Amino acid sequence: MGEKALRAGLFLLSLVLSLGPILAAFASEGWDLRSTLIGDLGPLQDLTSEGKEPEAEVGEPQFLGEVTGDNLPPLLLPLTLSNPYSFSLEVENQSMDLFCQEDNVRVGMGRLEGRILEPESGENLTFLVEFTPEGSRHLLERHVRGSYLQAALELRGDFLLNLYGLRFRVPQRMSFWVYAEVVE
Amino acid sequence: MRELNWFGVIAGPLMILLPFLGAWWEFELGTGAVDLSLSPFTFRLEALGEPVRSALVSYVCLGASLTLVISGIFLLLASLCPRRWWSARLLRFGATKLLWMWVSFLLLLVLLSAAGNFLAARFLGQGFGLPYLTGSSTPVLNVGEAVLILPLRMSLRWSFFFALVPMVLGVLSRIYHRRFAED
Repeated sequence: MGEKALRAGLFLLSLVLSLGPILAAFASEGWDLRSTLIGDLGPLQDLTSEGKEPEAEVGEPQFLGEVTGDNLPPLLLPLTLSNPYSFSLEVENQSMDLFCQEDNVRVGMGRLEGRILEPESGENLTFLVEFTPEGSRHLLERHVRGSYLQAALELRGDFLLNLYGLRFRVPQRMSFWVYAEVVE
Repeated sequence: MRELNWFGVIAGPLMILLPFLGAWWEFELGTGAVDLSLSPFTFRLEALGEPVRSALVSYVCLGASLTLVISGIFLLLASLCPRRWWSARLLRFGATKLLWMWVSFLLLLVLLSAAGNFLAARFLGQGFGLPYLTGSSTPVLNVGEAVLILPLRMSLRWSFFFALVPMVLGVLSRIYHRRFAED
């Protein structure tokens, strides 16, 4: 009798210990499968929700000096980047090639110092664009109309983002116009 | 001298202790993008610095902890009184639970890595290079034009290896206990 009762008791105990937690988990979450398997995803939810993407807007470029017939100074290109997520994003140091859009000729390079984008905010960043001697020559010889330099330029390269050690390399093309008086 | 099943006398308390020794295995993706600490008794997941909860896994871990504590108590009682009529039954209940937990956990981890590697090769058409159980790798995913670099690391903690002690002693206690039944 005792032996049988013990055997039955141990069997019931095994059953309760294996099925009990599963039933308790479902009961605690109101028998909802999704919330029982995985609860609040927190900031991860942002990544899966549609319409939330970082956006970049290029501003007005500004030369750091006078443009002359034989000198094209570096220019600053403002860039507004928005972070729609509830976690911070790191923009890594960037280095992108600068092309003359019309002739598809490399004319320089743009550099951007890395910055942390705070959650749900926009940050103003600035590319420092420097022209190569060949690039300067190309722009000053081919894109000066009257006494004005007018050219459509394009930054091409990989935009590097860092999210808690995960690195995203996104190919980017950012085009903008330069318009400046060429001083003799 | 009092008869004891020495293997069980040592294994029992160690089994009771084991659920409180922390995670057996850790997984890190990036630097805090995903941190997972896992054992049959522990589940801690953090994504982007925030904890992510799973009621099912938490309750299953609680159930496994209770199971092992009860197994340890039964094993200890059976080993202290090996000639009592209930001894063999209690020992049979408690001695090999940890063995199955340990083997299942190991298989689960190996299967997860194998499934990850298989699915990446099948659906993404690229090798993922997930390590098995322990190690690090940096899979590179091409998503459209973008490239995603995922440095990850897996490691087994000391508690995983410590679990081998009560596990082996538990199995030995079951074999050794036969002598009390035969006498």
